[in-house]
Amino acid sequence: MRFRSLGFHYFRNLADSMVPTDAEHVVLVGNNGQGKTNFLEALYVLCYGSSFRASNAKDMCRHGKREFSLSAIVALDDGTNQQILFRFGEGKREIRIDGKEIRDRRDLIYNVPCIVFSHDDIEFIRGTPESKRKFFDQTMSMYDPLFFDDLRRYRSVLRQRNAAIKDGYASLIPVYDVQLAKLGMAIQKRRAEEVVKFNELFVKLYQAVSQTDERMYIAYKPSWGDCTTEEEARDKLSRTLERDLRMQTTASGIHRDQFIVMQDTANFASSGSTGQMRLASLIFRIAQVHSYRKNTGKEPILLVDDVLLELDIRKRGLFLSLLEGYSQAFFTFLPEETYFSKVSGQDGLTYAVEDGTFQVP
Amino acid sequence: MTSLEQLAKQLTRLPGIGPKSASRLAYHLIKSDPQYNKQLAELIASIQDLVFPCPICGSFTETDPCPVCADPNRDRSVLCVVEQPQDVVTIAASGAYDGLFHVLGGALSPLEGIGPDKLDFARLLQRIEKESFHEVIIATNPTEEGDTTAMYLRHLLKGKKLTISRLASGLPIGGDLEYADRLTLARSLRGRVDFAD
Repeated sequence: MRFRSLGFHYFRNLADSMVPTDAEHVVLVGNNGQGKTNFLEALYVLCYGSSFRASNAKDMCRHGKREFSLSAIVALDDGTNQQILFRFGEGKREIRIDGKEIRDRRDLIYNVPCIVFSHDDIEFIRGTPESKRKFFDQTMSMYDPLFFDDLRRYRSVLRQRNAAIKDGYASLIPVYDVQLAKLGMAIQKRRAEEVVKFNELFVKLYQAVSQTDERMYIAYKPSWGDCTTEEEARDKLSRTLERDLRMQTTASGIHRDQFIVMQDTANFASSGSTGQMRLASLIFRIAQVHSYRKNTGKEPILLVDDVLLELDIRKRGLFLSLLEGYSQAFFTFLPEETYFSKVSGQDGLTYAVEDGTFQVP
Repeated sequence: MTSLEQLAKQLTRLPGIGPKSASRLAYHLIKSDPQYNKQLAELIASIQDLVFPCPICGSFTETDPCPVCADPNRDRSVLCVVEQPQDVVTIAASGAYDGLFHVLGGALSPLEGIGPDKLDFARLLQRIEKESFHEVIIATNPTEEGDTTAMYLRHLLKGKKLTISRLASGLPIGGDLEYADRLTLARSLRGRVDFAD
């Protein structure tokens, strides 16, 4: 699977154009603020229908505009081409695959899988419990639609339960407890299984790139850790209802689960250096690539945004050697960076990015 | 604002009609047969007087009680509970059901301010007390809100001598497994039914 071309209209600072991308490696070179990350963002929006950095589609319009559109031709694994179109205007977004409108994001996210490596990934290591849950939920959702759907339903039931607590609909709470317990325990079980599989990869990858024998792993601490069945989770919810009513929110459940990155017996978020955490976050993403390929047999598209800059030459080489099993990869670099032969080899395309335009140097 | 713009603006208030469709409809009406426009306007003006909710089941009707509630040939031992009046039409049109109906008027959603007090549970329970149903079929939508409503109703009916059932969900009839989306298939597997002799 590969993006053959990418087109923009009124999208951020990028000039209205159609840029050919039909190569295994596409390299974007330019100074900061020229549009490299915007290019990656456009690809991401076409894969998932939302941005990895803007929470509001309106923010992606060019300055002074109130609409934008993106389009791409994707070469599928079966040899056919697919057209993806994303249009935003009048506060609404419209997504079409080969002219057919996609109404549920669920039908888009399994279409072209991509994985983005960005600076913000360090939040998976040192950030809030929510950002860590986000990483693991994303990893599993990428290959398991049932998990994704359970998670979506859980969130929806949770919002209803919280609204019932606030509005005094006490008679509905036991009904929500049954649903939360059922969905929550299914999610908890899957998260626990995923962490075991993830650790097998993560421990080895970290040791290989850091060239140490440090044992780094994830400790999963579920909010309902003392429950093994739906009934136990339901009992727990009803036992703690008084506290929930007092706090006006549901205080336990898988939305409070914790994933703690451990360095032997210490919490890595407080013991690790920024460099170590940066490296660990890159390895999180590599593990995500491995996990996706192992579970689906398919190769994702990678968007690697400026993250190599922070690694020394040796680590950069090790990182790139572990980065494998993708169908296409996009990299961004600063002009003074010496990038590696892998991407400037036979099946590579390089663009100089300046003020939103893309030129072959 | 011109009369044309005013008409288009009013049309955008209808569900599924955006500004472009509204403008197309407004231009279409200008060019239409005046007789047609008059009939349409009269029908729109009188529809709320002509059609009202059936005082027994809550579905829309022009007679009191509605034709379904009044039909002596229908099976009066089965009651099908639905969210909206339109659902009655859909299920009746399937030809597979000849019992009675009850319309709740929506699904439970505290987020949208819809609690049990906003739906017609009270009259439903009265009907179940007075009439002699053997089975209640809960036909709320297969959404989270529909599931919640179904579970709440099951809770209300606990202890009554009734068979309570819920519509099955899963793979479409006549479709190849090959073409089912992954989620539908995964859910169907999870909700598989016993097939033993």
